[in-house]
Amino acid sequence: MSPPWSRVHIMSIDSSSRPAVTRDEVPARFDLLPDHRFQVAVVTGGGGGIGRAVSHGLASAGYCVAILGRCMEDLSETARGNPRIAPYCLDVGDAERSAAVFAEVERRMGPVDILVANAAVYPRVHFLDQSPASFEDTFQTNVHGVANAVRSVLPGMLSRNAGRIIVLGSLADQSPLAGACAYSASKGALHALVRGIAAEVDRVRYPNVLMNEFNPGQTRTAMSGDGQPPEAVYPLIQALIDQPPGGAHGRMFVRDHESRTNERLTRAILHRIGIGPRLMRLAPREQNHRSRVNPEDVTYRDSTPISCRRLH
Amino acid sequence: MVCPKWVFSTGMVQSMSTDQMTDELDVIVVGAGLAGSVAALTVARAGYSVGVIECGPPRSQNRDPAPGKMRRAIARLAGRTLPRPGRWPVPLMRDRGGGRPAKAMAAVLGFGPGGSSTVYGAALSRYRRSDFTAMRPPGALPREWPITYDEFRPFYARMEKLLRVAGEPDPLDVDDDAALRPPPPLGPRDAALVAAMQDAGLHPYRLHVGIDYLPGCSECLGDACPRDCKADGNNRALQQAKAFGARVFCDETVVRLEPESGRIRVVSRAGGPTTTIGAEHKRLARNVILAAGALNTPLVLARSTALWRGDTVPPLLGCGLMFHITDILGLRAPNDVPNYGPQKTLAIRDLYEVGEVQSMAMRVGTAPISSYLRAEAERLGFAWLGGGLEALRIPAAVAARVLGKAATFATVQEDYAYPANRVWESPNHPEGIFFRYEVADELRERSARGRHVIRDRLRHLKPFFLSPLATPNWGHPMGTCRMGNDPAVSVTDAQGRVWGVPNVVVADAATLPTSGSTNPALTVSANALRIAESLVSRMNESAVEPSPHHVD
Repeated sequence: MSPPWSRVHIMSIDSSSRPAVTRDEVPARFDLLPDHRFQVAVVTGGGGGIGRAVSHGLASAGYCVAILGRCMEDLSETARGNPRIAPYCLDVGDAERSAAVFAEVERRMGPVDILVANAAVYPRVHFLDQSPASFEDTFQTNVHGVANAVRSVLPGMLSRNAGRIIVLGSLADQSPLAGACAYSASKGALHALVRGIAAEVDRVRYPNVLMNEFNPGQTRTAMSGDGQPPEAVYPLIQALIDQPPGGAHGRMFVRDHESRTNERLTRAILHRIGIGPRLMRLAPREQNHRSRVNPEDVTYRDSTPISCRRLH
Repeated sequence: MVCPKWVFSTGMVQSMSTDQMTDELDVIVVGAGLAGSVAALTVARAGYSVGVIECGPPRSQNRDPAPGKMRRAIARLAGRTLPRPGRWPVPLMRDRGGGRPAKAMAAVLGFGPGGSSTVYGAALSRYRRSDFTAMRPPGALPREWPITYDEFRPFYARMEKLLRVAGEPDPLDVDDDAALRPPPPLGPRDAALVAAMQDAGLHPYRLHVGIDYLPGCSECLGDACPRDCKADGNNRALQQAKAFGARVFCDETVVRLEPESGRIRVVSRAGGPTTTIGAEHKRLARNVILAAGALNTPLVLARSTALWRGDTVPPLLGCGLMFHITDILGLRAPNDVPNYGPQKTLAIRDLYEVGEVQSMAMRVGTAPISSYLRAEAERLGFAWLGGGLEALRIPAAVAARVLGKAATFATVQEDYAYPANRVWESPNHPEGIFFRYEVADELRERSARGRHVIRDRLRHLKPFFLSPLATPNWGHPMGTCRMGNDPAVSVTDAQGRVWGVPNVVVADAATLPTSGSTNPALTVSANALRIAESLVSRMNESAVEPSPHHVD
């Protein structure tokens, strides 16, 4: 078996007319840092709420966006009229299907540079009333779903030393509400999952692979009636994507500021008096030059311009 | 040490076999390091029954925890070093002569299945043809192999395949026909170094390493890889040998060998290398392969007094101990380019007469600089300051600011076998390994000349050295049971058979008669393969039919 960098797969997204081309001898994209430009993003749970708003934001910034979700009608609604968005039907909790769909995305659109792991479920039910199946399903989507997605994209990101993973998290675990037990527990598990995976990414060898947890705060979606509009979330996600190589990694952001959960008391006191790493802040990019990636510029190695055509 | 873990893992059969075992094995391998694992695999694959005795604990997820920060800091201040987990647990005792007490030093050796190959730097390079040409350095034992390079070369190729070596062939070596796996692309700093070296007329190439480079590989150098990515004796050979029916007995130390009517009885004790009391287990084997490492193999032979009738102990047993000389140097890329990607990347053999120069993947931080300053201070006679030398961390931290971006390289310079450099066991400390090693004057001179050559040829990369002149590489012991065609200057014959005891075969680094100018791991494993195959072919010839396939 040849290692991933020994051959580079070059694909046109327009795979109906052109078969996928595999070329040896092409230098891997590994060497493109720091001017390597991200091109392909995947948003899970893109059928509504924050996922939909982020997909639109990424698409208008020039990325090719694959949106993944369970309900094809919702996904199609997100992708309607936007040629840069491609919907794929997937329950992220299904590990086998997930691997297959991610492989299909890579085959059609090219290597995934950005993953926004956004899909989550929030059953409003008291613990004693919740069926074991529903409880399991919550963890399946909210925890296993993230793990499945990261497992699919991280090896490629590491071999190219290029990638951003943003996991939508929550601090619901810190003071769970009544009727949100499974959700809060699953979001608590996510902190450890993100930090654990991040700890396994060597900072010297792969400084341009960054993985962070992002808590948007209360947002007006199907899960919550109040809060900011979902469109307000996108600029902060983009700020995480824009982190320079060696930037924020394995951290948790609540809106634009970093939050440290489960910090030891001694550490917390030291931080409080200014010893140790400073808390980071995200600086969202100004709205007017949002479109940093010029759509005309987005080319692959074989210089064929991408036509982001609907993919199904 | 608690109850051996294999009692639980493999059921009662093996736990009972220690005392009551009456069946004899075709081969017992002493030591499950790289050489022992390769030898066990070779013999097991040929259909013979094999038992491997290893003094270290079995590999498991629950490794002994490392000593805490506080304990380490206290030990440092007291001027001691604690053994790292996964490494040989007993300090080595270096005899300094002149009636001075022996100095304890932490062993740079592995422990448990895989042995030193679990903690090595993964470099798997071949010797060059020139390393096999005979030479007689004055005062040293003859530098010659009992076989030719061309006889040896096929074993290199086979080990490169088994250990899955990645890298590029050496452009200056016409004999380098290695089929290597492609390594991952260079990061910008190493690419800049390559360009600068090529401008200077040198021929850098990708170092041959036994690393699979799984996605996210951190190149575990100096530590056991938790991901099964770095090639070691355990994951590339011993596990396979087990699948062929080899039995591995961990946490058991071989005490001595005894002859018994044409066979060899292997006497061992449960427990690690410090165990000197306890019940003895006895196993009978038609042949014994010794692969306990260059420091331990001669000690096992020396303890086995029953093997030697009268005074026929080979005079050179334990003598001719070789280490390489390794200079650590920093090279600075001409432009300030970022450093990322693989770090164990480059080798140069243009200056092979002063040794191979290879990437070391160490960051020029406070720790290596302070240990360098400490070594220099001790050399200048300030060793009495003990833990007070920790104050050198302050200037080291300042120096690390200036030099921190440099790439570290290490040289591997050939050592000749001097009979006075040797290893022995003290009757008062049967658990300790005593050795004497003095850097010969000619070696010191060669090393100084090597530095001069490096400063000259690489001057545009502003080399600076981070090790005192002529520092031995304590992780490369070799040559204590040298192979040869003449029993007067060797301990074993070309097939590793100990002179006078033909069914005891030495297969590890102890047999190497020369140290070469590169890391010994590939040569050690290829030689183990060669020696084990010759044993198998002798067994095939002598037996009417091979003993029934070992079923377990």
